[in-house]
Amino acid sequence: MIALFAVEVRRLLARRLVRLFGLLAGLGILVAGVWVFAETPADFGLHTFRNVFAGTTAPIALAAWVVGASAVGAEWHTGSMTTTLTWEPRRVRLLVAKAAAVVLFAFVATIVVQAVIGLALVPAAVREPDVRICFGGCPPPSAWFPPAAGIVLRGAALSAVLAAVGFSLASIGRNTAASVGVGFGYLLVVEGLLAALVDWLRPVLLTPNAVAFVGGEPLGEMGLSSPGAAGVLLAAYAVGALVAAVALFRLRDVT
Amino acid sequence: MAAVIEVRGLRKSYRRLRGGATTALDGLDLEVRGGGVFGFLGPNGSGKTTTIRCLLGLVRPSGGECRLLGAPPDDLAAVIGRTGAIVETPTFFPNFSGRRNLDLLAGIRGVPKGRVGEVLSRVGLSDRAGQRVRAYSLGMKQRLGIAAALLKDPELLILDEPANGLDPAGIREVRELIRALGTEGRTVFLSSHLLGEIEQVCDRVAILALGRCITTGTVDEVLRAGRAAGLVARLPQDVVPAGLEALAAAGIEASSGGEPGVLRVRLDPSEGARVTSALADRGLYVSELRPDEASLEDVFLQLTGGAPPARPDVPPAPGAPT
Repeated sequence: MIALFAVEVRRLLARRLVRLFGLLAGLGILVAGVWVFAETPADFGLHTFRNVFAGTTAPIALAAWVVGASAVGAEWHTGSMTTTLTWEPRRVRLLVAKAAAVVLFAFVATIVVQAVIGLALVPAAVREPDVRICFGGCPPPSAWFPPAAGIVLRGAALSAVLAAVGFSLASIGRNTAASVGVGFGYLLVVEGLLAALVDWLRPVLLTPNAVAFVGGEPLGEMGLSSPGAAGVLLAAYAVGALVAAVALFRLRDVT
Repeated sequence: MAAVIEVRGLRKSYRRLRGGATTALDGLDLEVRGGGVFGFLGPNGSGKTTTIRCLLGLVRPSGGECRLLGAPPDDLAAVIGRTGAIVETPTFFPNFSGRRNLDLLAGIRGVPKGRVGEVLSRVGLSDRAGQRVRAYSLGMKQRLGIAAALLKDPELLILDEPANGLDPAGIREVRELIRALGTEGRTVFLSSHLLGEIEQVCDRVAILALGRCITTGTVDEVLRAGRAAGLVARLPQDVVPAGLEALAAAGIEASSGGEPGVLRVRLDPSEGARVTSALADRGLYVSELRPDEASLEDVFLQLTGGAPPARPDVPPAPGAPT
């Protein structure tokens, strides 16, 4: 199982899509770092990192969905799943190893990207003698670091959840586009309609619970009563999707 | 030698989207003993690839049973390390190099990395191993597939149409490779529609039609079973009608047989003297008289119901589907 997992991690890291996302993220962070350094917004400082990380969580998590979907969708598209199964015929073990690699990758990659974003913004946040930047008035690290780190870690967990859901949908549909299409269609259209039309569904919708979980604050009538409960609900969605994907993978023919 | 592949009453039906089902295997029985090269022949749609997919656990049989190295599909993990396989066109990650694809496969079962170089060299891909698979020709992908199948140093090698897409030189190389593999103590299970390839390489064969095995045995046994008992006589083309008449007068059944100047005589080859005598009595002399030997292609076409157009008078072999 460890060998299988290690191979899946290696395969994931060698994928073009992952490298492309890494390159785009690196370029984006570089540009943002330079821009913020040159045009430092008012009241920008270490204490505002929490908001920066909260803002970057959504695109990173959606990218994790795409990476998760593509990781298994590409195997179906190219037909290499057949070749892999002639090396590891235990399907549950195989899909779980692939999913574990995707989930771990999404979690770690999110932390790495957020850390790089933080590092890119540090020069602007601490430079002197620009007194607009909390000079002499910055909160101590004990005040800004835990909330910022909390956002990053919960954002990483959200990325892992969405990567697992994207992976599962692509495995069920045997196609990356199926997962991305269903996922984005749901998030952009269906969930908005459900929120507007079906009151009793609101507490269990994906988006409000994701916002509540990452932000660490309940969203009033939207989402569950606490961020912790929202996190448990999100995890349950991911596990449910994975269980369905594994069950179908185990049952269906590979032709 | 114990059976490395055992198939008993194997059935597989695929449900169609618009209802109904397509039967791919209809009670297939097959036994492949260890060692040598076993040819698995059948026309398109006869169930060859479905059989291989059942054996490898890729599809679930609708009925019957199959065992690979003694293991049923549910317990394949116990024997998959001793089995190398290509199923249809080998499939790899197109944006990875050939070497990286093999490295990743090797990692799944802890195959030493040095083995990747060995198998790439054995299939003649060492020079192109660093290129992306996307840039490979179909023939190179086939070679990479064979390399992947050899990676585990398997005792059983299942090759589904390994010569697909290869040029004549490539086909010859693969044929020699398969022959060599078969003499190394391995068992090679070779599915192919290239009858010449099977005839030259295989020790034993099975022929499939409509999801069933219609004959199996050594190549010689199968050829004998499908062989029309008879003789081929060659005369000058303008005297063929006279020759037919002379043979008929002697009570010998014959017909003109496809090629100009050829008579196909329904007589045991040991009675060739009766033919020459009957013809010589009318002043007709044969330029050639030989047993009417069927090729594997002839037998294949007879048994699978596709009689060769040049041989309309060959009687169907016993057991052939009608």
